[in-house]
Amino acid sequence: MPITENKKISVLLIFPISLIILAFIFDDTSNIVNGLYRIIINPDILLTDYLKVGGLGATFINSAILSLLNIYLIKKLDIKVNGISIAAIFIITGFAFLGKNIYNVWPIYLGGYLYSRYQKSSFKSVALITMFGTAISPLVNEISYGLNLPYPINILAGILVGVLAGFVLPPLSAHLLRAHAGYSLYNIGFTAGFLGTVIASLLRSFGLTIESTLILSNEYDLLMKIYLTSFFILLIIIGFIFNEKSFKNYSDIFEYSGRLITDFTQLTNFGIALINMGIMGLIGMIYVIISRGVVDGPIVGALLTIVGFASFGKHPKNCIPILIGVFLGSLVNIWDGQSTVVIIAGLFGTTLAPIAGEYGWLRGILAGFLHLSVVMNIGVIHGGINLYNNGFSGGLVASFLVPIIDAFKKEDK
Amino acid sequence: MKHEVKKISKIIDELVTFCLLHGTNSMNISVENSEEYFKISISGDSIDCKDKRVKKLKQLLSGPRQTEIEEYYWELAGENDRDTELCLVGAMIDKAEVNYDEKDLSITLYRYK
Repeated sequence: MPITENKKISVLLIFPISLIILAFIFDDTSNIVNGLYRIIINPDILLTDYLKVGGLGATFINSAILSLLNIYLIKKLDIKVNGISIAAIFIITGFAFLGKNIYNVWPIYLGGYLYSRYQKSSFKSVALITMFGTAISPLVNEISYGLNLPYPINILAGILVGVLAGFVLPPLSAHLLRAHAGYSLYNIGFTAGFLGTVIASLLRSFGLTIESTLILSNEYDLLMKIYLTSFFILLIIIGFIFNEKSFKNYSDIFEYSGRLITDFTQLTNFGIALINMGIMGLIGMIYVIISRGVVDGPIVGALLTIVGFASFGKHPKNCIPILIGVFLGSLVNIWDGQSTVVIIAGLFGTTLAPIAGEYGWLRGILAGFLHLSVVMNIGVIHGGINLYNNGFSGGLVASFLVPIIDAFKKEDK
Repeated sequence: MKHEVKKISKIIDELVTFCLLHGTNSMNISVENSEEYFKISISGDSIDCKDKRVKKLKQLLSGPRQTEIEEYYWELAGENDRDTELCLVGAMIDKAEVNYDEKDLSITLYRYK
């Protein structure tokens, strides 16, 4: 029996509702309100862990509000719950742990809305791009609170620049897809990287510098490991039930390279997509544990992003080679393999999963290895105002690597 | 709508790639540009209609039009020589008729203006 849209929405609601419940179990209202205020006024450039800035309760509420509002938007605009909309919801929920908040995302939406009006089309047509486009939202906070501009010019300037960024993202993102031909899943990260680079360069040319930051928590490691692992197992159980209480046909998912667009909710079914999401979440968690990492805000963001994109192209067969490539890179390179930045390079590096899916595990490992080197050097260009820095790197690696791999490919039979 | 002609060309590109990848030796294509819609018809022979991906074709093309996917990803249609973007084509059209007749496959797609 087909699964109704309402049932699919109910599944999406599980995580944000659990966040709200846990926020009030582990924190009190005044802490949550104060924490949300600190989250809002803090410049949010990479890497800013909201668990450290605002505390557990405020971070959970921030994430839950953004998640619920975007689920409402999907319902209101009559957007289907499919691979891409699931990925959009999970990436927003995840990045609400490290840079997206209830203040800084709205100018991006307004920019997207104005673009749709300008094009005389419905907001629905750009809604998903705008949701992903909140990658650039730290720009709003950085200009509002990070550049020491006088009040209220700072607030107005932050909002205005955010609106402009939201306006140009739809045409830019569609165009830049062709550079990597769909071999990097976080295409908006690639786009926001370009946009962030231009904006950061402009700011620097006026003497306005963006200071890099590294604010990380370590006190919620065990709690987050238990919570997220339970959620991933729950996804597998729900998927199992939806898939006629079986894992049958799960292996069909491995037939797909994962290249954009690979929507597992359509190519297989919603139940199998959920099973895959849970399995990919567990694989991500195992990777963190093997790397001896601490589950902080950025790692939560990375894990939820993997889970979301496991309905839209990622599966164990195309992701594990990338993880191996980054892990090997961390062993031989100069960076600390246990550090959050290196671990999230692995988790987010699975944006390159289609390369492993299409060209095999060896090239997948190569892509992962290369990604680590690129991502560790590229953040400085945009100053951290693009939250999907790994998406920027992934886009560059795919644009560089795919034509070369293709050049060495033997002739079609 | 912007890039309308290019989008039609890319849908055709994708379907031609699909048929050739699945072994067709001969195919016919026609496009009707009426006031109401674009109608794209393709028929090909020598296609293994029992192949899992060919059987999936009808389901993938029969979904509702999804402008939110079209706006973001339409430039990817017809861009790859190994894989196909049938989910994307399904999101770019309003109605699909797919008929299998042993080795012959005929596809008719409607995209309303």
